[in-house]
Amino acid sequence: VSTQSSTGPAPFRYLAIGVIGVLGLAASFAIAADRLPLREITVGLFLGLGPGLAVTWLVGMTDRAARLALVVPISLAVDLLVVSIVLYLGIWSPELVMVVIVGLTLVGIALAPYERPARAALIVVALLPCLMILAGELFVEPLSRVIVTAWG
Amino acid sequence: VVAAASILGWAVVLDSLDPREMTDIGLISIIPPPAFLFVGLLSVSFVLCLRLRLGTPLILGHLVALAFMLYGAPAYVEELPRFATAWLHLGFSDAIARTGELFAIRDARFDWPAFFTTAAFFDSAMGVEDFLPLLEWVPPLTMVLYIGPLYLIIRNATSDRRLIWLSIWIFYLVNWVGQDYFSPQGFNVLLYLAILAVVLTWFRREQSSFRPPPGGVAAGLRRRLATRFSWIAVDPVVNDPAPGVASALTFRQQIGLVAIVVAMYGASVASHQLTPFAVLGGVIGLTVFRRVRLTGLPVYMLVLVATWLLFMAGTFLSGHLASLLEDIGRLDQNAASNIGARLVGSDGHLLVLQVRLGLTVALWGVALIGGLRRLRAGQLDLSLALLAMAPFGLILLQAYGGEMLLRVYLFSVPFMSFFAAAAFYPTPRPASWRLDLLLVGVSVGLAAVMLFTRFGNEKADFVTPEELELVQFAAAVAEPGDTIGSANHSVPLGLFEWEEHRGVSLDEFWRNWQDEPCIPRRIGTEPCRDISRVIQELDDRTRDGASGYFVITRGQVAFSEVFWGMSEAEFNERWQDLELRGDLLFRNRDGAVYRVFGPSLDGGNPP
Repeated sequence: VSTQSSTGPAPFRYLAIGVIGVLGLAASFAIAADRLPLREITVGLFLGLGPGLAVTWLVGMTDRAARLALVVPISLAVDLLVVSIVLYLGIWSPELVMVVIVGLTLVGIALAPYERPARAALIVVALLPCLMILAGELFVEPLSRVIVTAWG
Repeated sequence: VVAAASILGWAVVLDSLDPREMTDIGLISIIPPPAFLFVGLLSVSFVLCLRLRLGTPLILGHLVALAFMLYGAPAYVEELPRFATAWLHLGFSDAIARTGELFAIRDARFDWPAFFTTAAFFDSAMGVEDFLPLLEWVPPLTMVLYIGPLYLIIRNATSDRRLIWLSIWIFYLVNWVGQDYFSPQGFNVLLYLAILAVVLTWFRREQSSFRPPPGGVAAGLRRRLATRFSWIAVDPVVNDPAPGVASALTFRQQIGLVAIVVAMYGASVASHQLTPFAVLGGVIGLTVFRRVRLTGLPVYMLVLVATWLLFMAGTFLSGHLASLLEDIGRLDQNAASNIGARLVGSDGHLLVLQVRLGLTVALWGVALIGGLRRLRAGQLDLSLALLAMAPFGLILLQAYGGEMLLRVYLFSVPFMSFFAAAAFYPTPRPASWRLDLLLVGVSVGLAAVMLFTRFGNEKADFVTPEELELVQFAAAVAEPGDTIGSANHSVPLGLFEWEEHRGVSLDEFWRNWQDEPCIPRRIGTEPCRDISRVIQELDDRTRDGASGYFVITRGQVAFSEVFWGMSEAEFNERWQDLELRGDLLFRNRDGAVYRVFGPSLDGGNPP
């Protein structure tokens, strides 16, 4: 059986929601900010994996091989559909597209059935470094620049 | 370790090669035979992994290494990404990212713009300053992404992991079509495989639906028919049971999985002209032969693709409807334009084409043997056989610019590869050492043939820094609205502000200029046997008051030689005329840029 339905508490799911959400929002902010060396990796990881992970969780796809196989094509399909809808509505804006994708991803994760804690924790561990690096680029570096400028 | 050593050794050897030494048989002409020792090493290690039934990560490592060795080969040899069309696609995305507009009037591909718009979004969102270094690694990365869906599909036919992995290994060794570059087609093959993977994994029928009703003559007849043809719906599983499908899907899961299929198919419909029809053909085959439970899916797909054609691709459809309808059902003409019309070019190129045909026929032959061996072992594998055959129906639809047979091969090759692998491992029984040795030999041989066939046009496809310098100069000097002509389309002009000036490839006029009827209009009454006819055509495609430029590059000379069989002397004859006719603006060792007409040339536009 390649998919399973399960119910129950989701202690780590909320942590995963938080991490992916913050990562997505950080990615949204990153679009507006220039000269972020790791922006490519962080935003690319989110767009390539985030929506697909949310969808596979939502469907309750617990087969690891199936999830690994489908997470990227599903992510890219979701990205593509959102981009197309925004473009054909005549409101082309990468920021808007990113916010919609982040929103859909968060909704998907929030509505997903119970996910095994270990797996969620693994995802958190995998995404945390990216988040920290991005947070550093977004907040620590600008803050340090402000401090240095003010000091100078 | 062996996989890493193989790819490292391969990269070191290829990195030392000079692409300018290539002949008209392409990349293989400069690869020293000892380099294939690294492919041999990888193959030995891979076959050992299969024999010893080692873990998935190890085998995946070998597949990734093979993808980067074969599909990344040009990236080690060449300084810049290859293939002018990949540059053009990047130019499309760049234009959308800068303007937020589509250009359906300029190019029909913008009627299926989703791939380009998504790439534009990724470009903006990721803030990639220079996408070019990534462009050359797109083919191996794309091939790696195919592994997952392909694994899922084949897992439905067999539980023998050797057969699954060998199928993907062979797929890598025979996929010479070269559509995995930065293109809607490459991305759509991923969607094609992913859609089929979902449909086969979660909606495969476990049991025959041919359940005869009790009693009555008609029922008896139906019962006999059902018994007679029950093989259509159920594989006679004997030795190699496939893992069971999800028999207990909840309603929510079913809805979710159907939504995934719908979303991926929608993405395909919005991003490529042909792939939705290939998916549709496969799903119809699976439905008609009662291999899957989603009987309404083909109808939905048909509605979706028809809606897109009617409402979103109207620009293309209004101009091409007659010719599209004309092609339907004309098998002989479509086949002729796919085979006969393409068998032209230099002697080396003809050899490449013949080897491509030979490899194709050989793969299909071995696949047939594999299918028969599986059948003998009690496995019908009807689902995969249907998916291998369904793409052939596309040839009935249209010629697709002479490329339909290539696409048929592309869509069927994942499944043909399964049957070819089954020729080696028809059952889960352990294989002999002799068979494993044969497999290593076949792998090395196929790797050489694959490089020969896939990169057979490489002399025309690779791009040098000097060529880049030429097109950058031409794009910089041309004002918005100006045209930039070229002898053929083997020039990476498309990347540079594509929407502002028009790149015009004058293939037919450059190639056949001595045979073209002379219809002098604005050029004057110069004889046809010179460059005037070419310039006249460029002028005709330029708006009044704008200038016309012409860029000649090494790639165009090579293209003319490889695809047209035109000698360098013949090309140079035309080039010399161009030199006399135009103003030389810039020259380097790989070509030159000329202005051939414009407001400040000869006191008016045009002379």
